[in-house]
Amino acid sequence: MTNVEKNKVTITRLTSLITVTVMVLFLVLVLLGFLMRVSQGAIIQLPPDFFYAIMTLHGLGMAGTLFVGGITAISFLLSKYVNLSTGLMKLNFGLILVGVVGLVIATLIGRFGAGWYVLYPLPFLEGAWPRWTVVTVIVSVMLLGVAWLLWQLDILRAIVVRYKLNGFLGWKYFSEKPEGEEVPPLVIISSVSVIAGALTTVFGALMLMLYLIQWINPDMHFNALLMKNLVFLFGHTIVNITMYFGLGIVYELLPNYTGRPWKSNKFIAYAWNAALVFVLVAYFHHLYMDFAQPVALHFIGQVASYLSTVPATVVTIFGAMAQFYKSGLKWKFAPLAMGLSLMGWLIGGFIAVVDSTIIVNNFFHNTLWVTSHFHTYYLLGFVLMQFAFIYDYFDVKSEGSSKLSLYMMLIGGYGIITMFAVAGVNSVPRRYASYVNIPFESVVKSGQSTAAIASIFALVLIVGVLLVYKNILSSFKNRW
Amino acid sequence: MIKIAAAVTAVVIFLIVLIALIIGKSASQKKDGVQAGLYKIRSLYFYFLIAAIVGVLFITLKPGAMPYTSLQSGEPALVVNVTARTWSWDLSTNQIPENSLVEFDVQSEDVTHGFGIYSPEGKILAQTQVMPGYTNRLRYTFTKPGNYKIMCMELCGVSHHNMMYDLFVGQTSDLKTEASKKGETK
Repeated sequence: MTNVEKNKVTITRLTSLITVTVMVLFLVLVLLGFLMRVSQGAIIQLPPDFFYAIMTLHGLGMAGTLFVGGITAISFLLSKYVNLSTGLMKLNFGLILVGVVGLVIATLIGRFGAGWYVLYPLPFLEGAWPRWTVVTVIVSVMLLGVAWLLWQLDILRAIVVRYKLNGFLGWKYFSEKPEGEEVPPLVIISSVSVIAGALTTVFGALMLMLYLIQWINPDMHFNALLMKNLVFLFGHTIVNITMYFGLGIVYELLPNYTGRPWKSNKFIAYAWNAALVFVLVAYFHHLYMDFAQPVALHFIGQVASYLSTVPATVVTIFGAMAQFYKSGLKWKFAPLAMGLSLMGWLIGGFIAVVDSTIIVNNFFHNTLWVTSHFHTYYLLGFVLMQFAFIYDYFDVKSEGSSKLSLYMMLIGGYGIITMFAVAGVNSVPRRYASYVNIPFESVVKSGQSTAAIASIFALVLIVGVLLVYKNILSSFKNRW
Repeated sequence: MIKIAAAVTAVVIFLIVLIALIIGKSASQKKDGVQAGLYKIRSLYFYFLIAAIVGVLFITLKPGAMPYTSLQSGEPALVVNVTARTWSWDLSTNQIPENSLVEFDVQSEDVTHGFGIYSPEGKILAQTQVMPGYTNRLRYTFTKPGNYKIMCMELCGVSHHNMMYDLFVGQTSDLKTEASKKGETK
């Protein structure tokens, strides 16, 4: 076996291993989400410290798990074009496992409950949770950050080595007659994603270093507004590029089913370079209600959030429509999931654009409307893209129950996000362990009833996910 | 505003689903050379989208409509100093005159909280974050008398969901004198 073949086998095995790990973590985190909704619906009553702890694990865990799922899929698909380091991939997987164990211990045993965004200075609130949990979370997220940074830098290295500086971001398509070898859209999307991701992970690491300094020396304090900017620059971008990884999957795999090429051109190059700019400044919309933030940054946040719809819809959505429209494709699980995922991405994106309007955010900020947005993005967008990849990757054949599982996920998913949106419109605040003590009957009723109904939809979703898993696992041997 | 946002969202989602159904239904009937037609529509869509974005930005980014005091004109009739701590609120007064511009100067003694004003019907009216080290100024004119509530809108620990306070809005003659003395009137 040659070195290239050995490399291919190692990447395939690692992809299988990490993908199955991601599937297990995803299911556990969905169950935590179900538990939270059941508790908010007053069907059972979780102790508040446990609720906030599992809320933290659910948020941090989902952001991390889906990012890892996305970057793994992208790495496998990219390995057709570039040489990635398998040694680094193994190291990253090890670091990620240690980080996950740390987060599980800090939240489930230590009851650390400062939320996925660990908003400064809440982690240091005296008596809220044991001191050891704070350093466990800081170090665990640092380990995850190191793994993600190394992984992204390796992708960037591998792409630049092959496609050079005028190719890796598709700049050569700016000229009328691009020369040299073709750059697949997946490569451009991956470059944009990992540049944004690596850059902002560095800022995230800086923030975590400051957290560590304060943990070592509790008398030291830092500027809360600066810390909030850092955490959302890091967190928002990581979540956003997870979605880009999903789009990379669609650009790369969809043509296999439609039989139509989806090649790079100047529109794709312009669109994704614009996306790189917008993704780095759109995070300002998380800080609209921080009136101490310079007003100009709020305006930039809204303008960037609005403009990000241009490349997304004009290029990606129209490109995808041109793939599907009268293509003669057979609606197998993977293309169906990809089509539906784009619909979820659009819907989630529009809900976000509405909320990124400052005068609207004034009412929706930190209500369940926001929760509706990112669950649509993730659950009905990225997760479907990820499952499409997994189906394609394992070459899953059982199409009958696969479609049933997909429809169950859709019913469950849209039910869940509709309940969040309805509650948001009724001014139900997010991140409330219980609605019982809210002094308005209408808000209590809305919060509890939507949560209870969402619990039923969550059960439908869970059954759908389990059916998907059953089919995937029956084909696992295809890739081992 | 909430109703407009929800209605626009519902209409757009309906359109997205409709287009998805049309595209989805067409997908299984093969016909070559149809992409050019779609790309023509794309040009139109591009110009429509740019015009829509410019128009909506123009309407929604008017400085006077922003919640930020640096862009607002007029002097408040009453300034209420608000201090947040886990898990309680301390207001210099909670007796608020109706139809008067009131400024809430909010500060935190510990972690970040969210200062959200709810109407007597349970609808959120305005909010700002309460961040340690900063004083955020939120202005609001209450046009109806009643019992309003302050609710915490930012995760601040295990009792975050219990952090509430009363605000009484009425005509000056109806408000409690003792409490209103604590307010700083400009």
